[in-house]
Amino acid sequence: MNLLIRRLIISVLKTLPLLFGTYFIIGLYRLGEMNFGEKFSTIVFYSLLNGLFFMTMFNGKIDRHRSVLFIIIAISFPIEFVLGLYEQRGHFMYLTFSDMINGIVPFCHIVIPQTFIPTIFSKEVVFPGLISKFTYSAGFMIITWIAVSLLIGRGWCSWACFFGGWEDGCSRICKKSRVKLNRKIIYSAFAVLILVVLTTIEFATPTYCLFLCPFKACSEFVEVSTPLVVFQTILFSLLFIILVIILPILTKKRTQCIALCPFGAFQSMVDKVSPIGIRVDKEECIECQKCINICPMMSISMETLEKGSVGFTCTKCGKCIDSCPKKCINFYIKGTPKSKVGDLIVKNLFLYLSYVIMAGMGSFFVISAIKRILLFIQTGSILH
Amino acid sequence: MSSFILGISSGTACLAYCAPTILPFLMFKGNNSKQNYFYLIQFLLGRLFGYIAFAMIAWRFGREIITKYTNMPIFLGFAYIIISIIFIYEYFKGRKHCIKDTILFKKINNNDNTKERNNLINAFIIGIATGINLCPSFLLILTTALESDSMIGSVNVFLFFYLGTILYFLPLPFIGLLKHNESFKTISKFLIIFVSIFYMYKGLIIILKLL
Repeated sequence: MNLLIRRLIISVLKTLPLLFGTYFIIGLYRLGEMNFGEKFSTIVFYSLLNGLFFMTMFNGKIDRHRSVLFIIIAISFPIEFVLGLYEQRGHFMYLTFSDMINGIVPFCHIVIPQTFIPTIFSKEVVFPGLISKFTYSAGFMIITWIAVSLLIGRGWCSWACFFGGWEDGCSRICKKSRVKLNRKIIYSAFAVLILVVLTTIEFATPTYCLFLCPFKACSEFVEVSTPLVVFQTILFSLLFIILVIILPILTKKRTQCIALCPFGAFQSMVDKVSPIGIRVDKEECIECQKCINICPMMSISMETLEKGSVGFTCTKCGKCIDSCPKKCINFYIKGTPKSKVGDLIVKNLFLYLSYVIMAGMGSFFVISAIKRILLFIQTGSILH
Repeated sequence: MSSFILGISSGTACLAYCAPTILPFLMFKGNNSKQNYFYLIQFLLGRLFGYIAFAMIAWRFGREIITKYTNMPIFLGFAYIIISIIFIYEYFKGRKHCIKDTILFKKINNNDNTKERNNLINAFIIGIATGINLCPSFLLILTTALESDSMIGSVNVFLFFYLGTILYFLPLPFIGLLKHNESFKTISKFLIIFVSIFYMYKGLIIILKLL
């Protein structure tokens, strides 16, 4: 009993810094100026975020609690994104030619490698978006990407991406995987990255956005007005259904992230600048292969375990850490020696950073989605 | 001389247009940088052939060629489809599958010398198919060539422009240095399939739009 109370108190103390930080990030200090709907939504998100962090500190499970918020953000995103753009532009889930000419096309993070790399070579930004003065401007997204990448590298894919929660959620539906994937599929996304960059430079069109992005199914897409666009619409819809819904259910893996996402492949390279990594203590490891089976990104293999590391597709979701019976998988600062105390400090540091990032990336969408649901309950309309 | 300088100044654009075809080919085919240089030479020769042929046609038909060619992208559509077919053929050539047992396939690849010759021919064909692509630099030099007094003059303009652009292609074969890496080999296998699908799609869209 004493031990339990002690754990409880320590967990509360560890949560205090996050309570303080998110008080400002989420905007709780403006509670007095908010109406009932805003107050309720903000308090709910604040409580949820900090409650999940508290539970992580209390029972040590990272992925179990991270995934709850990650999935909620993914579900909330299309609610606010689609309806918010409808209120701004007057049309529902599609881009018109006029939107593209005016540059009011939302810039999402997946676009970054296919615009960033061609810009170096051709000095042109191949995307019909604005740098600033628009809710989803390129400037804001690029600054956010740089900051998050410097801190947690490819951890973006498990803590910041507002699409990843779809696959994360679908991959948890079945208890056992029914289809086994060949591990070589992890290289597919890198081939997609090279294809997208080369063809974007050649044809001066955002190839991934036009043809391949499955998440247009839960955001927006080009107005269906020509047979070519009909084909593109069918293609991305099929990619969404197969790679984001069906295959994650059958394989318990994040198949879109593994096989298609060029941003994920790009982040695997960018991850080199992140100071925090995950390593495996080879001496303690009993090669039970639980981590190999459970990794949703197929990042871990016997070869990586022999090297005492995880693979380059690791998104730092914490699932392997939670599943390891010997607790020999840990976060660490790259280049530092093994140390139980040091690894615990780094783990907590990573969790603080990641929850702050989740608060920053997800608060707007979750709070707005809850506000809209409340508005619908009160007035029957989901629009402001 | 001005064509040569124009080639140097717009060489990056040429590289950008040609890279989606030659880079996957070099990544997939070449076992080392030396072999890649042989493939690159074949590719550049094919490109040169395309340029010179176009120079002659341009001089013969004059300014009509600009409207005729730009209004008849069917050549481009077929060029893309040819590139796609070559990539699919190259992918299946090195793998165990039922197509390999067919008489046609065996006839095309009956020994190592034939295989290597076919590799070089394929690089040459890809060079031609890429060479007739209407990139901005190509259109620019075309308008210059149209003002030439003679066919030799037109060919010279294209030739010197072409020589100016070659410099940017020279580092490409060094991608062969990565060939010993298993991850790189797997990525190049995926890439060649994706590029072939993409070019098949592009070619079909161009042709079907005309039907």
